[in-house]
Amino acid sequence: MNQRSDTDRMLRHWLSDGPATMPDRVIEVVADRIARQPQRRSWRFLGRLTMNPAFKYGIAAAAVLLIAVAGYSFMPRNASNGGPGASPSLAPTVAPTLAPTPSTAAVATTSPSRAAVRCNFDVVGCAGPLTQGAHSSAHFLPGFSFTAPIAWVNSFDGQTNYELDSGGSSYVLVWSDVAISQHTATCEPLKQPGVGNTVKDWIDFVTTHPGLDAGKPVPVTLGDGKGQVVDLQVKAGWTKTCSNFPGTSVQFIMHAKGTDRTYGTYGAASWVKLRLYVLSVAGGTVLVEAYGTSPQLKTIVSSMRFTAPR
Amino acid sequence: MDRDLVEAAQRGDQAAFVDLVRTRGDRLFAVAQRILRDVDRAEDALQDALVIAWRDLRSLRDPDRFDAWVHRLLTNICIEQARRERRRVANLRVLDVEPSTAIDDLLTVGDRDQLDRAFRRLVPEERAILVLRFYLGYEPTEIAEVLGQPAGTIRSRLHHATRAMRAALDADARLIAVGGTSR
Repeated sequence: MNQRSDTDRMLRHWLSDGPATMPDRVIEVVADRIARQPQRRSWRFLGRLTMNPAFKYGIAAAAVLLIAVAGYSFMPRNASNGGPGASPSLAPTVAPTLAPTPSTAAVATTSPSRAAVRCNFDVVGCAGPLTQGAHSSAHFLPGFSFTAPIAWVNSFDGQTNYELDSGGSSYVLVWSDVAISQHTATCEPLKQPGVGNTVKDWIDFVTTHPGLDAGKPVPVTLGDGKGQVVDLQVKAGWTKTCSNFPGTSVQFIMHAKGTDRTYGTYGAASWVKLRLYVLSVAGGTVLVEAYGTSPQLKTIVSSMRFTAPR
Repeated sequence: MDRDLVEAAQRGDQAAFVDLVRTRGDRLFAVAQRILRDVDRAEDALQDALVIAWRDLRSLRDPDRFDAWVHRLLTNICIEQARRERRRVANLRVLDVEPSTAIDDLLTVGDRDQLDRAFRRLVPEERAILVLRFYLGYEPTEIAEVLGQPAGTIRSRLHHATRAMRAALDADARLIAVGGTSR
């Protein structure tokens, strides 16, 4: 066994000897553990590929590409109140969803309690697990208040994004400083040419998008925010993909300002049904998206009250 | 199709994920056991890797890469666990688990014992490289992808690890040649 080939053969032989059957209990343990382990959404840091170097070390807020993930849809009972209808509930937990990737920045000034909470993208500034009752955004502009059910989590609170999670697969995501994005195969955030940013522009775009099935838009008012709400789903025959996400998807949301290109694009995966609220608040456009099966989504969104800057 | 199972699991289908585990569990467990040389720790590492795989499955861009991705997760967990174990046990000898008593025409019991000792002396990354190369049959470029290191580095470490294993057997042979035994 002095030659290399002999050594290789010896190692193959030696390594082939040993236990090669997984104990049955592994399946049982894994099945039990994943039943209690929510999946992370497909957060992406596309902005790292395109951002200005000045932003590399954390100057703005978190960089993200958001692709929606959720299960079943919810239907409105009273769209003027902005609430999704009841549907089977998932067991919520109080554990915040933390993204595995590094942050690009901390979010603005934070209170001591908020500074101790790790949010999505490992930034700070969110409230974390919420007590049942009234709450307000701390950093998001325009500010808003809402009523939280028990066990929901504020997992992100930045100037242009705010997120509430059930701890399962239901969540509410709020956006400001938005623009309508093209769908690109590389998930590159590129503004849709020739399209404005009013509520009408948004509703017209999503209701005529070739990749989206849209419900009938309904007027909605959430405090000083007035606009329309529409249910969306990727069409069955849609074939376009985004390289950062498996399966077909439609991307159509991005941040408007150049510096916020770091936020990437956002869209809906093929199995997602989402409710999109497009609101005009103090001359700007705000989006509220609700995903998931939790009937508590209705409580949250219908309680939202946006406040225009005075 | 496995791709369908992966995509279903990405949509939150736990049963689909368990099906994926069933068809891959033996091979994954074998890899973990060979890197860690301990069935209990291999079981723990595999469980952790699978739960992480479930948690982060939606970040997997290409469902066809599921196997490579899970191997990467598992290998890295095994390496980390082996590092912790090396720090913890320091110079203590790790108990053998299921030592082979078979004697065949290629390796004697003494050979196997020497190989086991030599293997445990390797740094965890080198153990993983040997297992990926000689158990799974990965090429250095594939190992590089799994471990996130340059292929040149992998070739160098593979050479070092193989030579270390070879030296262990040669030392044993020298002992036997002068009339002693290896134990």
